[in-house]
Amino acid sequence: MSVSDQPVAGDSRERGESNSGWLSSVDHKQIAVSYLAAMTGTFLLGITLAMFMRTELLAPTQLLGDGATFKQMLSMHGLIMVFCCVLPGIPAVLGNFILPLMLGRGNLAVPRLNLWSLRLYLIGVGSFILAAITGAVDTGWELAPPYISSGTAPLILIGIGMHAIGLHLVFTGLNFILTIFAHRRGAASWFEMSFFSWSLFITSILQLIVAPILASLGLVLIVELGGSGLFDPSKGGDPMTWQRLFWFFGHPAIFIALIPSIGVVGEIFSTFARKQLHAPRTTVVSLFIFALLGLLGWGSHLITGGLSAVDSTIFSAMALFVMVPAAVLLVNLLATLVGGALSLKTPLLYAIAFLVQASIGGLGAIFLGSLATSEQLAGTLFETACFHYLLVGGAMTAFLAGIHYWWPIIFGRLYSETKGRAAAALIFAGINITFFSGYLLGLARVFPDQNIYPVTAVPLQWIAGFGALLLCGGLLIVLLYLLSSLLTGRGSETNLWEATSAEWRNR
Amino acid sequence: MGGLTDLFAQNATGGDQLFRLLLLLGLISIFALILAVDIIIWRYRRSEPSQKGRPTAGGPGLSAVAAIGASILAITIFYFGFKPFISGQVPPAGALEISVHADTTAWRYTYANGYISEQLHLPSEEPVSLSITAETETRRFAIPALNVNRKAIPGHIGSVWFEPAQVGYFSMNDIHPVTELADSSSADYVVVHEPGRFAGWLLAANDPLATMTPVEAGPIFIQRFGCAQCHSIDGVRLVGPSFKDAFGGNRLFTNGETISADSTYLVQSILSPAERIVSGFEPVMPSFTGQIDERQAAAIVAFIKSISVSKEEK
Repeated sequence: MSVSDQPVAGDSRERGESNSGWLSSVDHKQIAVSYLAAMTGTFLLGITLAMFMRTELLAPTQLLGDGATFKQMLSMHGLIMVFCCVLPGIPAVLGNFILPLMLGRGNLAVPRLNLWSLRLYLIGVGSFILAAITGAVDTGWELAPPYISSGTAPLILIGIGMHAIGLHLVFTGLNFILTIFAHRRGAASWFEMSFFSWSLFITSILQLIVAPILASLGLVLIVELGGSGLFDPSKGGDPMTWQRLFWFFGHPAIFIALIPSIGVVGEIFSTFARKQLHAPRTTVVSLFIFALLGLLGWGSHLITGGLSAVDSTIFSAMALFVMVPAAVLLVNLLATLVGGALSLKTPLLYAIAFLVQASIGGLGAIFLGSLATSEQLAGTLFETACFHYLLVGGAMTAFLAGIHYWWPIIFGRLYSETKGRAAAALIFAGINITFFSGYLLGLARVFPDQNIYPVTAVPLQWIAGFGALLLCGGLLIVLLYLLSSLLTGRGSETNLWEATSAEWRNR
Repeated sequence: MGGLTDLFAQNATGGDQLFRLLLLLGLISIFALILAVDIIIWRYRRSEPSQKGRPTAGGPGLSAVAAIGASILAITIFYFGFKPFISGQVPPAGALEISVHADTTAWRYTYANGYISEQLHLPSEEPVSLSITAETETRRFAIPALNVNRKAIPGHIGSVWFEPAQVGYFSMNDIHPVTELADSSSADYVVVHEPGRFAGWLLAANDPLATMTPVEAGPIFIQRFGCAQCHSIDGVRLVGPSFKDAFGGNRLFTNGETISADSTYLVQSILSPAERIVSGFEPVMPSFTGQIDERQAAAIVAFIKSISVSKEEK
C-alpha cells in the first residue's frame, strides 16, 4: 500500500511514528484511512436507520413501530449522518490525505493536532452510536427543546458527541489553515494553489467560525438537562434561543459540506476534460462569497416560527442571494467541460451527477428562502428533500467522486471501472427517484416526522422507497468492489488519469 | 400523488402566484441543465486517447453574466415572496380573532366571546386572524388546504391571517379535500361554516344553557367570566365572599343596610356589584352588565344555590 511505500518527509519524529499503531500515528495518510474506516461504519448505521424508516413509510398507518419509535429513528439518522458523516466527510478523509500532497508537503502543519482531531472524532462517533443504542431521543437533528420525552442519558451522550465533533472541526480547520499558510511561506503564490486546496481553506475558515458554537451547544445541552431552564419558558427561558444558536451553526453546516464538494468536483472536471478550471480566480472568489452568504442566512430556517417580520425579510434576502455565487460556480464548472476532451470515467460521472443534483437542491432552497413559499413549505418533506438533494445528491456524491478519483493514490490499487459506472448510474437514479418524490410529497404537505400519513401519498412513498432501494444497492456495490480492490486489486499506474495536479504528478 | 395539481387548484393569492412562477422556473432550469450537460458530454467526449482540451482558462465574462442574471432573478423572487408575506403580517381591521393554544395533547381555540373549543371553527369569506402559542412543547400548527403552516412556540405568540374561501371540513394533516368523515367533531378537522352561519354557530356553542340545566351550566360561566379568581366554591375567603353558602340568610352591607340574599339580590350583585358592598369587603368587583346576560347570571345563581345550605327564596 502506498501508505508504507511513500517516502515520508517532515521531521524525524514524524517519520519515526509513521509506522506506529493506527490510533497513535500522526501520519496524515494513516489518519485519513482511519477516518474513512470509521466513517464508513457510521454511514452504514445511518443508512440502516433510513431503510427502516422507508420500510415503515410503505404503509400510511403504523407498520413496524409506533410514532415515537419512528421519531427516534429519524432523530438518530439525522444526528449520525450530519455530525459523523456529512460535516467531517471530505475534509477529514480526502482533505487529510490529499492536501499535503497537493501542497508538496510531508504532512499537515501540526501532525499531533491532527491525531487529536481523529481521536475527538472517534469519541464523537462513539457517543452518537452509544446514544443510538441506549435509546430514546426524539428531538430531530435540531435537538429542539424541551427534552421531555427523550431520555437524559442518550441526550448527555449526544451533548458529549456534539462537543467532540465541534472540537474536531475546529482542530481540523485550524490545521488546514496553518498548513496552507506554511505552504504560502514557501513562496508559492495564492493562485497557484489547487482549487481543492482553496475549497478546504474556505471550509476551514467557516469551521473556525461556527464549529465552536456546535461544541458549546453540546455542553449547553448537558447543562440544560441539569435543569438550567435556559430554554424553558416556565423557568424564564426561551426555546427560540436554542433555535437561533443551533441554526447559526446548522445553516453554515450545509455550506461546510458543499464547499469542499465543489472543490473535489472542480479538480475532477479539470482532470477528465484535460483543461484548466474555467476562470479560476473568479471561481475562488465566488466560493468565498458563497461561504459568506452561508454564514448570514441562518434565520431563514425560522421564518414560520419565532422571527420578527423584519428579521425574516433580511434572512430571506441573504438566503436568496446565495443564488448569485452559486450560479457563477455552476456556469464556471460547466464551462470547464466545454471545449474539453471528456473521458467519462466513474469519478467524472459522479462529479456531473453532483452538479445536477446540487442544482436541484439549490432550486428547492429558493422555495424555502423566499418568504411567501417558505411559510407554506417549512417543515414539510420539501425541506427534507431539499437538504437531502444538497447533502446526499451533493456532498455524498462528491465524496464518492473524490474517493474514486484518488483511490489509486490512497490505496495504490485499481477498482473495476465497469462496476464503478454501473453503481454510479444506480446511485444517480436512486437519489433522484427518492428525493424528487420527497419534493412532490412536500408540495402535498406531507411532514417527515410522522409515520402516519394521508392515503393519497402512498404511491409517492412507494416510489421513494424504490429509489432508496436502488441507492442502497448502488452503495453496497461500491463498498464491495472497493473492498475487493483493496484485497485483490491490480496496482495503479503512477498518474492514472494523466492529471496535471501535484498529488498525481509527484507520485 | 396530486400535490402539484392541488397547488394549482388553490386560490390565486400572492404566495400561490410565486409558487407557480418558481415551479415553472425550477422545472425549466432542471431540464435546461440536464440538456446542457447531455449536449456537452456528447459534443466534447474524448475521441482519441491523446486528445487535449482547449488550453485557455477563460475569463470572468461568463461569471459576470451569470452573476447579473442571478441577481435579477434573486431580486425578483425576493420581491414576489416579500409582498404577500408583508401584507400577510397585519390582518385587516375587523378580522375575526381566535387564539390558538397548544397543550401537550390537544389544541384549545378561544373565540372573541370567551368560548373555548377543541375543534377549530371558522367563518368563510371573512378574514380570520389566529394568534398561536404553546404550553410546554413547540408544536406544528398546520391546515395544509388553507395554506396555514406555523409553529406554536412556548412563550411566543405567532400570528397568521387568512380568508377561508371554501366551506366544509379541512384536515390538519392532509391537503386533499375531506371526502369521508368518520367523526365530524374530531379535533383533526377544521370546520369552515357557510357564509353568515358562523356567528350563529358560535352563539349556540357558547350557550351551555341550550343543552344543560342552569345548575350544570353555572360552573362553566364562573370559569368563563373569571369569577373564580375572587370567589371560591369551597368556603375559602378570597378577595370576595365564597360562593359556598352565599345563598340565603341576611347580608349586612357597608351602608348599614341588611337584605336577604335571595336570587334577585345575587343577580343584581353580579350585574351591578358596586350598589351594595358586603361589610368587610372592598368595592373592587367590576360591573358585568352587558357581559353576562340575565340567563347566565341566573345559571350562576342557581349553581350558588345548589352549594348553599339554605334553598329558601324569601
